Amino acid sequence: MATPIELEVFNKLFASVAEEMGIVLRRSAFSANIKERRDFSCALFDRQGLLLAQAAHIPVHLGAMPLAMAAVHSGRKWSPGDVVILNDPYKGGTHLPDITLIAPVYCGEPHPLFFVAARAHHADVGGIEPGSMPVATDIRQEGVIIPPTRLVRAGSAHHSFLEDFLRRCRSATERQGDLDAQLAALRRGSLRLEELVARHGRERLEEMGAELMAYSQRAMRRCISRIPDGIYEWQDLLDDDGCETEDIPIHLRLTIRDDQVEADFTQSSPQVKGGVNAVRAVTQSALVYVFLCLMDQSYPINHGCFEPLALHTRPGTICDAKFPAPVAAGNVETSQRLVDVLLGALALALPGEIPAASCGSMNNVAIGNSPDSEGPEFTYYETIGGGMGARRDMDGLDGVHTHMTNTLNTPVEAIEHSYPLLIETYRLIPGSGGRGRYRGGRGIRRDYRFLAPARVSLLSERRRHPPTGTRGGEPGRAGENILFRKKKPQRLPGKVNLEVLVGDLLSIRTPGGGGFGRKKKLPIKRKI
Amino acid sequence: MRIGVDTGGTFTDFVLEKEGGLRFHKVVSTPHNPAEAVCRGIDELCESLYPGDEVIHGTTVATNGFLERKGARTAVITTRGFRDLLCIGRQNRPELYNLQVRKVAPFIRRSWVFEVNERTLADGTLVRKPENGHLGKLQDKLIHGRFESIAVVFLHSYVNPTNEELVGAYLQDLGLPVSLSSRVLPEFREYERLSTTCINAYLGPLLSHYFRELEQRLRPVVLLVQQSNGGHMTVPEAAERPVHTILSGPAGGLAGARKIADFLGEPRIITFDMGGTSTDVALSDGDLPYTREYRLDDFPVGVQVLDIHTIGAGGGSIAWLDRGGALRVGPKSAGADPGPVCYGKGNELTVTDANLFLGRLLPDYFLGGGLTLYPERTEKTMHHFASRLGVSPLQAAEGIVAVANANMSRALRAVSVERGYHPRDYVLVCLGGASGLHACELALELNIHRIILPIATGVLSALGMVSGSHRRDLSRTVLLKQHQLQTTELEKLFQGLESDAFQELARTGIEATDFSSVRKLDIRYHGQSYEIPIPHTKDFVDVFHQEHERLFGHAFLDRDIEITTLRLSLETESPALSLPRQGAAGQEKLPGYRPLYYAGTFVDAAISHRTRLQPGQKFAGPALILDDSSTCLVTPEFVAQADIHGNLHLERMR
Repeated sequence: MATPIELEVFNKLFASVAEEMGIVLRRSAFSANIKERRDFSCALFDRQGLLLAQAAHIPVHLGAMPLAMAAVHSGRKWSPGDVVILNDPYKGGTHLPDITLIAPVYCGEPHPLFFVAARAHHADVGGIEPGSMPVATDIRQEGVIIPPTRLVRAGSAHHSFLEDFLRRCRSATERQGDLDAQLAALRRGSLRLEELVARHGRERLEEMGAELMAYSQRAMRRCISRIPDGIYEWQDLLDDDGCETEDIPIHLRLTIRDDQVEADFTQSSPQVKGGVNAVRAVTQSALVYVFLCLMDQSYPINHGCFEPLALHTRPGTICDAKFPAPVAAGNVETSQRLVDVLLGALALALPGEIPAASCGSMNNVAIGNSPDSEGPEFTYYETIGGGMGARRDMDGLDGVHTHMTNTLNTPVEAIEHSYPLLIETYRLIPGSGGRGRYRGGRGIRRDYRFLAPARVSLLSERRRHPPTGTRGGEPGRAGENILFRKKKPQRLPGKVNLEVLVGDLLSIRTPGGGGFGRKKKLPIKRKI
Repeated sequence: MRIGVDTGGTFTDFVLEKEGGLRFHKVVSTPHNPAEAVCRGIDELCESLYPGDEVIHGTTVATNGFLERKGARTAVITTRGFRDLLCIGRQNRPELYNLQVRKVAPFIRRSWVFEVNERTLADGTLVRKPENGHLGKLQDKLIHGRFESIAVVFLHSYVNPTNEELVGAYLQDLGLPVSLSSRVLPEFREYERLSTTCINAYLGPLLSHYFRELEQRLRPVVLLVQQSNGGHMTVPEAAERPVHTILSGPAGGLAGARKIADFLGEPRIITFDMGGTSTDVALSDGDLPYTREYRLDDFPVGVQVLDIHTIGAGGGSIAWLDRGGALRVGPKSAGADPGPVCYGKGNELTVTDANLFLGRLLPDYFLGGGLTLYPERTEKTMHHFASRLGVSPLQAAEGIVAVANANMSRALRAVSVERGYHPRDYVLVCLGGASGLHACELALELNIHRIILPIATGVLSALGMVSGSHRRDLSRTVLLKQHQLQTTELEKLFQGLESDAFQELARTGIEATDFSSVRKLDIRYHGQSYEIPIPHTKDFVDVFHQEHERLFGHAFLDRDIEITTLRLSLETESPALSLPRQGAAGQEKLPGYRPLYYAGTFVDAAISHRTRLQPGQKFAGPALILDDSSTCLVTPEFVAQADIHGNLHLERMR
């Protein structure tokens, strides 16, 4: 058995390899999305492909990285110097812009001892709209699909594949630079693991890896066993799919039995025409995220955490989509609703413990040059935070990313330096947080002025159904998307592709969080 | 003559350097007005001060003022549409998997932020100047709001500061200190620049008031201020740039430890500075470690500071029982006033009380006998505390030390293990009066084999200050692409920066001739966001490609480079540190042996004074080694040995 100090030291050793890969990726990347917003994750796997450590970057990548690893690993013959690339949501990906690179680490052994992986959200991977986050009806409209493919074979790059891929993306130089940054992250990870093997020996490292997984599993089981046994059901709705289907139900039947969880989403809506379909990896991520939040302190995040969490989905549903359903918003919007549903069910099991609903949307904005305009080519993607739901003994945070994402904003000065955009307003919306004993966090207003004609795709939720309050708290204010053309406002749907002109102003107002508890009424003074 | 003075939460430390000789001193701090302790200590240390003598001062006035939110009522003037930026920050939450996550509330109220209709574009084009009518109204609001300080932060002011300067000039009549972001941190990224500028404005009045008073009282000496970058600056510089003093004391400590370690030929050190109210740790691999990502209470500070990790726990940390019945230590501290129970005033037990109760501090020799302790008070309170815990008083005291040690070792892990450095490969260098009592137990826990307690352990920050040099770091964002580059151009830009700097220095009465300058360029590939600092030499482009290759494993020889920022460090030559040789001296009468409580039992510990140790003579723990400013506990696992300068070296034997 490992001592508590050994567990701590090796946990930090593995975690720091993943963290350091993240630093290399961020520092050498070219697109704002990676270098400023840090929309990426890095992870290590053991020889069987089980998650050993993942840097705490983006929760929605949590469950997805192991599935990418599994998709790449099964039946593959590795050789030293290989790198495999993929983004296919139906083979280990989540949505097309998230490109994952995986490499084996040999440390002088005949078979790989470890694997390193770097996933990053690229600002464009082709498709019908710049930013590759369009409202579409088929995944083939969303961008280039890359099934697991050798990008580098035994150290030499697969040039024809790369050229073909880059030809089908917008801003190809940026793509190339970001892929190089991902490769650099893998190299650094391999190097650090080789050093660890040299210092501690292969056997000890592998033994400690297994110990850490057992340790995390024990902690997760302890956490679950504190939740009262029972079957808890909850349902919530997505606003729409952007293609005329409205009020799409997500249904959960959550069974807690001793230290084991079964999350059954099989009664959820069938998959829909528009891109709010989530692949199973996304549902898996939401499940793991919620249970990590319930743990009393931070534990190493690895395969051990996943073991006690059983997930049931039905292929062809909104929680487990089948090819060729479009999935761009499944990863960024449906994932948030999955969390709302999971927390809703848990609120029945743990009354008073669970916060009100948060903003519930990542408020995705993708912007690119208009194909017929003459200006320089560009693509830009960002997400906007909102209000956090109020908690049992405090207000929700204002203007912040909640649940499945934690990307940073791109500094306004960096956006305006690189793109024909002016950000004219970036502030909180007074009164947008749901009232209650504790107030929900406030949403954000962000206004974009266009200095060149452009194509814009918006993927946003909670425009029709606001984030709910809990235990008598009021809901937060729903979000709004408004286009001002010659000062005339025009309300936009939550999900839309549109053409904008020079001088147009796009105003995104994100939802506030729900309130917690009934607001205490002030005693009414009676005249005597 | 030079005197280094470091104000800590509990003690104020002094080092006097005169003709190569060093003298050390220590007095109890006076938190209500730190200047009192400074002046008293200097009076006690030397009879008279002469023009030309220097006092180099490390102060916690700025940091404490910030943490206690005692800064000025600060008006923030910013571009229209951006008044909530200090609250939104970078839009992320500090913890991922915590539903109860908290963020530190902004130190500037929302109603203190004023928006101005003005705009500059990213390329420096000025599209809208603030209207005079609007500024007039703003001025009225500032007067009615009784503001004490002003921060002006406009978008893209790092490229074109015209609008900021215009507003600054307009508001000059108010007679309030004005911090322009284009002066405080002329670099892009509005949130980081805003935060840094606001902190500067918030702390300015507090700090200039303090220094002015101190300067008056110390006449006719030259008062210099220790900066967070390890060098020092003049009082007028400090009044304009208070944000450069946020790590004043700890920076002196790290600089002092580095100097001693260099003198002893030890490149790899982890410094452990346990004071009364807080503990600072840092890891140095030969050079001083710098960062530009420092956070003060979670708010970014973009100026260059020494990379030091601080936790709010020290010898004065108060022990208490939480609602679940668990023993906790800190973060509340008894500080200097009322101080630990044994100082005679306070009633809450501290780590110092626990050490005293365990026999690890000798009441009659604390600070060389300079401070009277009341062990009977501690004893009484400890008995009471232990009965609430349901254990024996000795177990309670040992528990307090164990919990304090767990806090310390977490901090030491944060700078070593968590960054991928193994503590085993480093020497633990102790600073601060309280660190010697905890060093052995921490070293055992972290698997560190060697400990050094430098001769000036208790006053090492002050030693770093006395042996430092005048330094000024300047930067200017230029955003030059490769095709815009000509060596002559860069030379001109640097010369401009230099002459500006010298003019400013001259304004504060400093001669330019004594300074040497180091020029660096922040370079990246066009399109990247992370810059690599490269020395400004003829072949800097090649050096950049090589550095990129070394750091990230690849270089893009065919991509354009971009120079984002010019950096200039002006520094006077720092005096070489030479420690005087010391033989065994001192004739104090010490008890010889004394029982102390360690690992659940009483052991007989040899008591000696550091100045009476024969250089080179080894002796095994358990032992207590005293000097005028600190006490060192040598546990049975270690062997101690003094060198000819009086530094103590501890080595693990088992």
